[in-house]
Amino acid sequence: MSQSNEIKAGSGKSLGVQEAKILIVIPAHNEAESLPNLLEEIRQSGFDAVVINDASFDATEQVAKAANFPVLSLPVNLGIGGGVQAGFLYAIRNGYDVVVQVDGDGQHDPRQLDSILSPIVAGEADCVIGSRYLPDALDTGYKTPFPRRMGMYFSTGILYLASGLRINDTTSGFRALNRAAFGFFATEYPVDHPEAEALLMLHQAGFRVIERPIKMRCRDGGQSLFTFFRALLYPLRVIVGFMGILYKSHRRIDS
Amino acid sequence: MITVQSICLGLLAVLGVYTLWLMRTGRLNAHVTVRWLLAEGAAFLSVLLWQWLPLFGVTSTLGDRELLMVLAVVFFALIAFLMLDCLVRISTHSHQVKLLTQELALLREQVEFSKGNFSE
Repeated sequence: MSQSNEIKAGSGKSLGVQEAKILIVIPAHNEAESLPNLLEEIRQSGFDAVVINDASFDATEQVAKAANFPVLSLPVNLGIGGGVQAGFLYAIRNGYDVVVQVDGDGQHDPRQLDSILSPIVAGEADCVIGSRYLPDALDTGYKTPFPRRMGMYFSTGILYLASGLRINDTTSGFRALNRAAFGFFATEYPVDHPEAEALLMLHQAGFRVIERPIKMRCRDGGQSLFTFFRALLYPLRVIVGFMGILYKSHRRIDS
Repeated sequence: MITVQSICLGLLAVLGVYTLWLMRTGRLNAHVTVRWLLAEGAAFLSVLLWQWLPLFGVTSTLGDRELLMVLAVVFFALIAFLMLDCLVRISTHSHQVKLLTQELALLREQVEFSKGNFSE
């Protein structure tokens, strides 16, 4: 794909940033049904993208290749954390300045990329979370499944208790990171359900994390990996993960 | 005369031989084997020299139930330690597998990209 030299939204609105080299990382596990529409929207936005095929059983890899996007095909399933981290490594090695994570299920609308990219390219933040639950801009159209909602309330509360950082949508996978932040994650990134832990890691390492309102769509197809059983284990995983981060020292990578 | 001590020693010896066989056939990592053999050796010596061990000097004044409990706790601690040791190794290997998987995916993509450029 051709490199984008400016930030463009799907609406064609230009933000006029000339130097920023932006990569969209799309983790996908069995998302052959959802990917074609999403990839077409991304193509229209003009951004570079890489699809992380996390050992899918279906035609995810073929669909992405047919759309002429680079694909990182993981031979064994690493989960969302390992997959996204592979995307960060790809971004580092190919000299990107900004990475945006967009889930392969089609729930994240690429037309809203500019709202989470703007603070990054303006240097206002190191990580921007696309949030459905900002009190003054609630996404009323999106119905969060009950287990996920419970998990999100839990991780929001525990993140606040652990760090004082108030993030309303800790489980959102729609997030943008500058080079320092994704470079930090290229060397170390949590594994299962990494979103909340990643926020704590960023905060501990002194990165600036903010939220911007977004609207999320329903899945185009496929199934969510956040099942009821996983939701039951989620609090324990978050607590253990947070303890691991809090008792560990992190360094900030500015290069 | 067959005693409980000789049965235990025999079982531990069989376990030691089995451990060595596992290592020889490549099913058990050498590092883990060494730890297991050390643990088995320690257990073997404990059973062999139990009459002279201070632990049994203390427990000899206790009743049978307490003695069994102490033995169960010591046994559990030993097994837990060994399991944790194995889990540490599994965790390390999981991390290494993750790095290799990512690296492999990145290299494959690079090769395909180069192939594409070459054919053009």
